[in-house]
Amino acid sequence: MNKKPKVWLFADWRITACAVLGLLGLLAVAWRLFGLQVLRHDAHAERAHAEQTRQWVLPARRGEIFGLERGQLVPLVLNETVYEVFVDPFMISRNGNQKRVFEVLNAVPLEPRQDIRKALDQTTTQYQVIYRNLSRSQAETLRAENLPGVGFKATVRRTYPEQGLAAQTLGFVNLDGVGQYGIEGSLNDRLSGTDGMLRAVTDVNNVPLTIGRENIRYDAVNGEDLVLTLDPSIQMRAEQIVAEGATRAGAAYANILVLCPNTGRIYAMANYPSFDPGNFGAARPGDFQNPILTDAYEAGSVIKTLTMAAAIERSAIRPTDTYLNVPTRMIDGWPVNNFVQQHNNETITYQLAHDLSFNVGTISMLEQMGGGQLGRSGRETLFDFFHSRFFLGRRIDGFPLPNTAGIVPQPSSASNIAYATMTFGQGMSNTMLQIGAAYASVINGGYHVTPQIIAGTRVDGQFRATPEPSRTRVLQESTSRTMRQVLETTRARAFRDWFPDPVAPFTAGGKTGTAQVPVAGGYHPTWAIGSYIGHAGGERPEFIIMTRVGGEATFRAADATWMFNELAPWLADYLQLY
Amino acid sequence: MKIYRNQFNAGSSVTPRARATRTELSSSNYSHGRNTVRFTPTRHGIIGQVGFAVSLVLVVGLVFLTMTSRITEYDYKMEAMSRQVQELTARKEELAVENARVTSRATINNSDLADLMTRPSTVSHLND
Repeated sequence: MNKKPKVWLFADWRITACAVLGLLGLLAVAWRLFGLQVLRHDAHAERAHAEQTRQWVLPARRGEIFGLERGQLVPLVLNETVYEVFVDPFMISRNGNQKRVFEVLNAVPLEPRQDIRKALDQTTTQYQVIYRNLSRSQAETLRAENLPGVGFKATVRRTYPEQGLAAQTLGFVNLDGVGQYGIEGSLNDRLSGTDGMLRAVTDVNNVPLTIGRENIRYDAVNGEDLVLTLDPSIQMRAEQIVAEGATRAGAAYANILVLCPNTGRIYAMANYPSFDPGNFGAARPGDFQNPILTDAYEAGSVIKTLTMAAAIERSAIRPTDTYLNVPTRMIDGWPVNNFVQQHNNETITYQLAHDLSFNVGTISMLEQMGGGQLGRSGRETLFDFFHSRFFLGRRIDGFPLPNTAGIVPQPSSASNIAYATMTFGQGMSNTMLQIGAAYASVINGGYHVTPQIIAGTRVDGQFRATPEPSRTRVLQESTSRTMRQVLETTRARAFRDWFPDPVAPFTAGGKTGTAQVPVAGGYHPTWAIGSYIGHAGGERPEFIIMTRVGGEATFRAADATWMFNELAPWLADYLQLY
Repeated sequence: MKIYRNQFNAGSSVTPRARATRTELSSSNYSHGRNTVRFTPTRHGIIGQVGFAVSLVLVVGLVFLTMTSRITEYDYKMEAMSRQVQELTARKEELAVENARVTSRATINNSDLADLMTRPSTVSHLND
């Protein structure tokens, strides 16, 4: 009879024992695996995900700013990648190459942030900044030396190739990368763009891998490149003249505004004093504002042009109409004098009153607008022109830079004496830009055009212009034509009597203004601000220049006129008006 | 799984397994002394089969890892290219800044060449 063979596993008790032990071991491993991979799966997966996943900010590139010169883009503000060089003194001393590192770093032709030898001697530290704002090529030269313990950190900073040109219009970017003042501040959202984000699984070298199923990537949206209406050549020339003008007159400040009366485009806004946007820390806080936009002041006799335009538009007067020019008029118990004591008690034309800037003449114009007497009717008419048509006392809607509204008293609450002084620019305050825009509507055919500072944007290297602004008729064409002749006659008279018109042979017109400076309780006895506003170009004026000088002294219109006379011929040549 | 083996002639030097097989055949009175062949399926035990399955899994896993590494290789290439793009962009920016500085009005105005030029004091025109 055959014996049933045993299964080999149970052939011997030792084999069986080993098998049982092995099986128990396998069960233990299986249980552990089950616990790790099933029971605690979520926790471990989350931990693994957290350790493997990294997140990066994809920085948006800040938009650059350009000027427009004869249709060509000129960079005014650019981005520049600069490098910070730091050392790890601990590592360098451990490697024993302090001497070599010192020699290489000392050879850089820049002022170090601290003494290099002292920095390298601080061997208990691991981070000492040696240089900032190295250019890319300088950093590459240092990097090529391959020095252990020397590191580089890239940052982007704003750079101004035109070295502070139009600083108050451009503004600057602070150390946090946020625009301050000017275009940088007002249009910071458009310029800064939106940062992107990359979240991805990485390997040990922090290289993002595409195998991750939960990778997220949002590309950065770069800031817009803006193109301003500023013409860098005109801006530069204006800045030279404004500095010369202020120095020549001994003024604390001087300003020049240049704009196109037909399109509203601002060609230049030059201010003295100014500041360097690349070194804004050294500037005085008051220098950051643009006074042409924010400083509302009593402009004086330059407003007479607007008063006369209003009277002509209302058919209240013509330039050849006459009135009795008394040296002093009493209004509401207050005396109002002519500054120039000529043609006293004579019957003269309103043209002559405009030429010689007689205050009494403009009060007469107000009377004619009010039906022959000073009263509410005349005040309301003048307010309608100043406020509703010339936009004085109103902030410029849609203008991207901060601008002051100024003050034009309401006719219902103001007295006759208040409105009488308003006719020659006192008792109301306005900015140079408001006055320039109002003057533009007087001479450009009678249209109000909103001033423009943004010409367009740059997209893929190409200029894209913004649409032309809307034009609103505020005066008749005939009134505008008449006022151009009045202004040209005024200027011709001024320069015929004293010296040849520097702007000749171009047809130019303009008006002077010398205004007292208000102080608490009245006006300063001696301080005065000199202004001049004028145009050139004949039947279709191509530019308006407004100038101003002031300070704690008496400044006359002649000081402001000098700046106009220096700039206008150059500008007429530049714009090829002949 | 069945593996068929040749049966060897009796008396030759054979393994215990083959001997067992041959014994079975002998006991079944299959041909003796003749050159005949009979294939008998050989079954592998549970351990063998588990081992075979594990080998299969290992091979498939290796293939998977190879594919993944391939993708990772592309990620490294992408990273290198991305760094190169950044470098070139920085270089382009640097050139644009340098160009703007060289052609700026301030530079031209303050240049040695400008110093040699005469500043015009009056302007006259052909039609004067």
